[in-house]
Amino acid sequence: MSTKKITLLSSDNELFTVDEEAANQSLTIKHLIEDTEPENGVPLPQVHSKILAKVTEYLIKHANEPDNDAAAKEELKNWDDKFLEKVNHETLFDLILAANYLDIKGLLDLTCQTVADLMNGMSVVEVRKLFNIVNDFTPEDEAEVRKRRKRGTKTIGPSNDQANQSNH
Amino acid sequence: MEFCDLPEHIFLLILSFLPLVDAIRLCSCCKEWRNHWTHCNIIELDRSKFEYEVREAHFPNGIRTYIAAYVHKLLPLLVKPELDCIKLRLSYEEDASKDKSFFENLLGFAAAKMVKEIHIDLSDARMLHLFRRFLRPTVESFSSVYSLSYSIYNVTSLRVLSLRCCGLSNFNFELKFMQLTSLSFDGMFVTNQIILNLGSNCPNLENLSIVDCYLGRDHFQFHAAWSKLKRLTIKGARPYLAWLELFVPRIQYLEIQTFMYSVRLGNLQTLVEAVLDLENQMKYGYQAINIMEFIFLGFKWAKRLTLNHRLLEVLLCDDHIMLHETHPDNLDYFSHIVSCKFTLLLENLEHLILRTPLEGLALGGAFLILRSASNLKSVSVDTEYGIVAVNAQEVTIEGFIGDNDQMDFIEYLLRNSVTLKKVFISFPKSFPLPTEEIETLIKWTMKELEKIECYVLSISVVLVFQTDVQVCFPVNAFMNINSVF
Repeated sequence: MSTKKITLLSSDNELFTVDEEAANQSLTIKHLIEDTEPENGVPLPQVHSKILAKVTEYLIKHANEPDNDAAAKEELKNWDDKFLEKVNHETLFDLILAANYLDIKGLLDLTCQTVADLMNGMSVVEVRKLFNIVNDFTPEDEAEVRKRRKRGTKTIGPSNDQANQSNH
Repeated sequence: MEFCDLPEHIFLLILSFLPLVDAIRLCSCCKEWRNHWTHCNIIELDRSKFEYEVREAHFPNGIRTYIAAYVHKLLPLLVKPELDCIKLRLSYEEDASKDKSFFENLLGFAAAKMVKEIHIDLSDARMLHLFRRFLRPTVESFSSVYSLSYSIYNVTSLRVLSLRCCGLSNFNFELKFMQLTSLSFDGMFVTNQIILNLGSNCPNLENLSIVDCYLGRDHFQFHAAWSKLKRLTIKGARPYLAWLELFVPRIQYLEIQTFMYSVRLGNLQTLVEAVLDLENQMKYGYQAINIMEFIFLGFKWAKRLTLNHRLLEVLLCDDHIMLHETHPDNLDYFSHIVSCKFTLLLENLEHLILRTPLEGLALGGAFLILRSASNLKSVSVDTEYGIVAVNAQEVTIEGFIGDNDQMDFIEYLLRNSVTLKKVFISFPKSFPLPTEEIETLIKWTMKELEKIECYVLSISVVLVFQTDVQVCFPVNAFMNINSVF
């Protein structure tokens, strides 16, 4: 069985070749092929070659997803875990954007899950440090929260209570 | 590229993978996201996540009250019309009246939000203790535990339900759960009636797992009604699995790791993977041998097989060798392979995993399996399985009062140590017990330990109770404790 090859063109003009079946996991690419039938590769001006290399790696691995074979599913899951193991934050966010742009649901879910797992169980201060998030709550805001608590209205949740707590 | 640069819809997508508490923490990082937590998708009410708050005594009545406040105040604010998952994990506190409204609230919320998964875990040390103590528990033994209420039927969107240390009381799954695909029971009282009702009322159930449950010596039958069942796990049944009948047309994964008496397996043509263990089945050696034939008849379609030590040992037993009577070192297992009465049909087997230290009879059993499997592609042997290296020769336990943890520890030592020779047990010095009490305690302890029925790996262990006069109890290889009283 011969499969049609698709060429993808990254923003820095690097070419990547994958089977059509693999490429079709990306709905964006699928539509581009159907609509335009490009001759010199599908142009993906938003995706850098460094990221596209990762994306194609994922697409090729996931081209024939097993339906019923539990062992194969398990193997694929392990592969997914390894796939993002050594990726730094910056690449991870770029991958999310690429998956979003290329409309690859599996990869988008996988990358978002990975980011979520990174901060699971962390305090507010730790999360800020992890992702370089600037605390833009003014001392007045925080004082307000404290005042509310003193008055006896228990503030559970949508405040930065936990931030204060984890400072202890 | 920084986290803050991600577009909002991506932020919300990431948020949907975070449990409520973590989602709130993330949204407390900066002003812009302050109210985004309401897009949360997973409600995880796990006591360990609230420990800080409770320690700070904002909520003097404990975690239950704090979590109840969560349920009351925060959950109504969530904006998504449908939620994926509710996970509840707290120790059970006795205050049944309060609990009911708390659970009703939660289930009501689950119904309104068309929740797909519900996990309830009410285990704590006391609860597990309760479970262990009742060697023959009845439905009533679980009366102090929260019992699943009929409100769960309102959650018609339910796909996954997992319950741990939760009572079923009169709950019988007699109304339809059309969407339910996955169900698991852990540390519960499960009767055959429940199994039968499940079969006829959960037509789409694909995955059933029954772990560490008391099965009340019932016969368990899985018949044609279980037409969709793909994965079945039965593990650690108590007191044992009396009778299992399995005639399920679409089963793919079968895991039976328990002490059992009798098995009938139908035509399991779709079976891909099986995991099999007889736990510490020792006393009922003959039954073990008898069920082996049926099991392997059913397993002839399996492509992947995981077999544990105990099972490999039993394979080579016949009427002349009893495990109790033969010391493994003296066995000429090759002659037994030749005279083995089993015809194992394992032509479909491709991958074999053996969890055994490959000693004595088990080694022979392994040869037998390997000889019968003509199309094997891979074999892996996990020789460390089940043996945790407790490499001490002597262990001293001071201040022994026979509580659950201490008993568990001794049991663990006896089960898992290879080198252990002596266990010294001394009684509390700060509040000396009267001599009669110590005597009763010693007797009780030995009686309790007798129930373990485990295969002690070390050839002989001596328990030394340090009273005014030392009292020694040898524990021989097969746990027949000889009293010297």
